[in-house]
Amino acid sequence: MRNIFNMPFFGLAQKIRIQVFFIVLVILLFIKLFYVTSETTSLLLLNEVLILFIVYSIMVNLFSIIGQRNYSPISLLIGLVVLITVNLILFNIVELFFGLFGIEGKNIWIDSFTLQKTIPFIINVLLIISLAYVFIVFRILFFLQQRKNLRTYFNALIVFFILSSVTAFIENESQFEFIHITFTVNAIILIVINSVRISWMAFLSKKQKKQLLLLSVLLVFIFSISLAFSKSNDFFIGMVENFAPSVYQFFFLLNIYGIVYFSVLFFTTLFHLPTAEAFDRKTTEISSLQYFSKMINQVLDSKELADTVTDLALKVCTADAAWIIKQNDSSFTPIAAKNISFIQADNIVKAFFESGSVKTVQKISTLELTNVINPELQNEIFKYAAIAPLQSHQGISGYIVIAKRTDIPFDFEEKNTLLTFSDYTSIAFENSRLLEESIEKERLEKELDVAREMQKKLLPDKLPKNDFVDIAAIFIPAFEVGGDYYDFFELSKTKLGFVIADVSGKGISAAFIMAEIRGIFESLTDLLHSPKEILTKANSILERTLDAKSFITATFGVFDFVEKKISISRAGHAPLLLIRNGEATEYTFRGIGLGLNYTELFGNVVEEAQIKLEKDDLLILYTDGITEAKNEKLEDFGINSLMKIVLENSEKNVDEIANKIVTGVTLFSESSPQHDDITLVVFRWK
Amino acid sequence: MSDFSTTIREAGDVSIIELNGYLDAHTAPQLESAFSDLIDKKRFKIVANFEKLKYISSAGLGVFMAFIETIRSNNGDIKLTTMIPSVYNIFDLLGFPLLYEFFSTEKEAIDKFNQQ
Repeated sequence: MRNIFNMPFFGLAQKIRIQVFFIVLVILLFIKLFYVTSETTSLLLLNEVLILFIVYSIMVNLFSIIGQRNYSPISLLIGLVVLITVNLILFNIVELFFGLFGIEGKNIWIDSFTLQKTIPFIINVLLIISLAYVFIVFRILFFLQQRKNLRTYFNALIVFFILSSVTAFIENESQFEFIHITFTVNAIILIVINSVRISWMAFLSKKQKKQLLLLSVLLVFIFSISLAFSKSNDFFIGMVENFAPSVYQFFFLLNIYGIVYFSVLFFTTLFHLPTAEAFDRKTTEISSLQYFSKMINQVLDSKELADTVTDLALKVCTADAAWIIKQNDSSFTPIAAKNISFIQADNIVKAFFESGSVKTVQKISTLELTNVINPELQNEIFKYAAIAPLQSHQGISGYIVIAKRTDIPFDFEEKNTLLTFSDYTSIAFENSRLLEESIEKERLEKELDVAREMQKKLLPDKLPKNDFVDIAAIFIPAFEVGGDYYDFFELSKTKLGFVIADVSGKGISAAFIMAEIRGIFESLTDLLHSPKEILTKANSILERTLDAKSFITATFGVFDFVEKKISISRAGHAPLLLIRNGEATEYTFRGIGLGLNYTELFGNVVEEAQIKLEKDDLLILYTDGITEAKNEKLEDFGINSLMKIVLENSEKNVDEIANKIVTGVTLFSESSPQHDDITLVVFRWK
Repeated sequence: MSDFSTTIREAGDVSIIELNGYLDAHTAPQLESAFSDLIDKKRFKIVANFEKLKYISSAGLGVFMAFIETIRSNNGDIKLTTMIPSVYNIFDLLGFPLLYEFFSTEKEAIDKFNQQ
């Protein structure tokens, strides 16, 4: 569209172009004032050349003003109507003016005195400007259509327009007249060819098409008047033809073009009118769907999404009400209802399901609400409703429903649109759900990070050192924090307490309970030195905070360096392993887990054992993360494997033993993920 | 991870809940809702049949503790039966046999309810 006058002169700066134009115009005026150009052939030719240049120059300048902007076709046509009407009025005024002096049109350039000639000169220049404008409008309209070789066709038209116009000076009945006639006929043929198959109006809205219809009738009428005027009005003929035969011919051709083009436009628009509404709807639909696919990626909140969907559905499906039903298990909740109350929406949906016509596949079902015998629906103002399922990965996630008040049922197009819409909506909801899920997952992972961090801080950062017992401890957290806990308490200079515990459950809640029992043991060990008493007291404290389904297994022991013994109690925890002289013994002291029972029973059940310690005795405490570690066959690592490793390495130091055990567990459960925390504490009595 | 399912049977006013598969932190909510349903229906005499249960974690154990108080305060009980040794061992270590009644067959548990 741009730079179509890609010819010399057009490239020059506008200022220079206009200067050259005015110089030529003045030369022409000078010639016109002092000579009668129609008298000698040489003058006539000079006249025609100058005119041609002027026409071309005006077109270039005009085009640089209007051609570069995107005026709507309608506004261009309105411009045409106004311009031609004004021109016709102007010609009549000029005729009246010269009539006062008794000058006839054909003698206007002969009888008028010199200065008087400036008036028809100006009129003619104005005419040329008008014609140039009309031509440019035709050109813009022509290039609106989409066809092959557009430029070739139009250039051919221009060529024959010029040829027909410049040969117009050939006198009637002369032997060369056939040349002019041939060119003119060719130009008219090209006009017809270029006017058929107009398609641009198809993209206009129905309202615009109606305006176009009116304008084209008006333009055919005006161009016809203009043509008739130019052929019958002697004054006009004399004024223009004697100014320049080419201008007169150009005027004639443009009138023909106008009549032909706008006649064709009228009929084409007329034929397009019945489909205008469908076209309008398709356009809205496409733009809505475009908007919608953009929304899918932008709107992440499902409520906002539902609102957008119903808004668009309302517009595109020409419905009076629209809403979405979300399916949760077997109940339906209407959301994002537009122009309808939730109760009404619910009633219509109920009617749909009672009618048994609702499809679970990608199909629409419609319902004539007036036919439904449901007292709740009797007062409904809605006459028709349509429903389409929203499919998700897991099946039907809901429905989109539209309803209308008018007596016309939803047509094929509207139903199809709803179906397309439900497709898009399904995808959108699925996206938003997946996003919510991933946010939730991320949140859980963050929570686990916090829990792991807490756990790490709760465990002792260094082991106690003394001359009586060597200690090694290993803790390996599971991804989902398991709630393992161990700690040491220097009760006195001769007594070292220790605890190993496992909180039921996982994650942050287990970490909180860990923090709590740590506090409990820390404060209890200030007052009490008996494992049984400490566990019993801890159990009764926990009653206040522990929920019904949580419990803690723990083993609490106290080394007595003076009496060379250990006092130990077990609250539901894994047995104690004692290795002495190459023999392993499993001790399962009586006791129940913390938090299982808050009555006297707990204290009555828990026993406190005393074991005399001998040199090189190994004491192993662990959590079920070790014995219940699973291999790919889901078999347990078990206590026997643990004993075997300990016995094989009992001569090594505590750190090495601990490492061997952990290596054994890791190799055993190599291919399965670690489900629970692993905690291991190894003591050697020196 | 692994699958878990429950089946509920009725034997007079005793409800038998069969546990199947692996009961851990992820599957425990299923058992919780099964117990809630029974309580909602006012069926407080419950026999839990562990015959087909292969594994129980601490979270699984917690489910039994969560409901026992409500059930016992309504003159009911949860009786545990037919456990494989590895599952029983976990209950045993924790001291459950001091708090719950265990039977080697389902019938014994039902009979115990009917004697009361």
